Amino acid sequence: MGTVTDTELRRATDIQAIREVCMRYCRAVDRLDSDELPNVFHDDATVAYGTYDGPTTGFITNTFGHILTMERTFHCLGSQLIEVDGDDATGEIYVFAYISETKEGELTDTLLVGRYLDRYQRRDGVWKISHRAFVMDWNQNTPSSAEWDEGMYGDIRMRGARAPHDPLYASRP
Amino acid sequence: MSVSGAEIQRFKNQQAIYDCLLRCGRGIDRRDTELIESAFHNDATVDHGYFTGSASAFATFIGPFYDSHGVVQATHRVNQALIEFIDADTAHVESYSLVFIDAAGEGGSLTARTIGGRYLDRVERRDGAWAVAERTYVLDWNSNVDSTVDRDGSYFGELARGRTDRSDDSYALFAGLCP
Repeated sequence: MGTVTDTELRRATDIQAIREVCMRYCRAVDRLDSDELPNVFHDDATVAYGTYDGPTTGFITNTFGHILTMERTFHCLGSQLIEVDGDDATGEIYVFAYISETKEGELTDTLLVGRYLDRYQRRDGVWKISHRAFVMDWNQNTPSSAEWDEGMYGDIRMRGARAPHDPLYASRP
Repeated sequence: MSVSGAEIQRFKNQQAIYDCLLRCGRGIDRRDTELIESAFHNDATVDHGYFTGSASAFATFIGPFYDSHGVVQATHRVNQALIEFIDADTAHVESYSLVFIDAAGEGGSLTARTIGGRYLDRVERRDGAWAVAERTYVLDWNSNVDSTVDRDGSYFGELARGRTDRSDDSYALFAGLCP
């Protein structure tokens, strides 16, 4: 086995950097943390979500606005296939989103499974999303069966919340 | 554009830190206290709400705690982990966790619990080894429904089974490779 070439190393670190961008996106939407968005999207980036298609300058009004109607979300990433070509890259990112929202007066657990189809660009040495589309593959909708104050869960004091109330921000330096 | 030594080091550190998260999840699922402890420094602390104390005490606490709640099977799936380095030897990590549990209740009932949460960790490199120094668990959501598990019907009866101890097939596979 030969030594690792510079090209191979660059590919590995590029893919890792792009995966980090995808993780920051999840933090941005789950915490409704607009401070993370400049780390995620290039200034002229666009999204094609169906619920909102357009420049990410409208992301807070539209997508954050939509998420605000939900009680809580949890965007959990799975497979992340990323192909890099110089300063351009594409990615297919599997996402499993848990959504708690009131539908027709009933608190509902929605599991939404799909994929982000992404284009990324490296500009000034930094990878960010230039275009993100979402494709839905599966969903399941059931009456909420959440338990918060009983059994195994009752003593778990730390609960997920939106910025700046999530425990994540308390642990920041 | 060549990759700098600092970038290579950062990449290696990320891999080592992610491995810690995986060892802890695997250790809980297999009730392997040594494996759980291997994810933490000796003086590490853990706050899960239902347990606050040292990581080594947590390693022996979690099995009996699950027993007391009827847990017959647990799978801790580690998902994305956002690692933010504070300095060369310290990082904050936010990792997404999915847990799948079968829990026995009164009168022979079995509940399928799905739990989504996050670990907020401070990880440190000491003597060249990364491990968790401080861990807090945050509960984001959960679902609890009557189990529809089928272990013997259809083709399920033909599948190999996970076990909650070192007789699990993974130990034979990893023999000699894992700490």
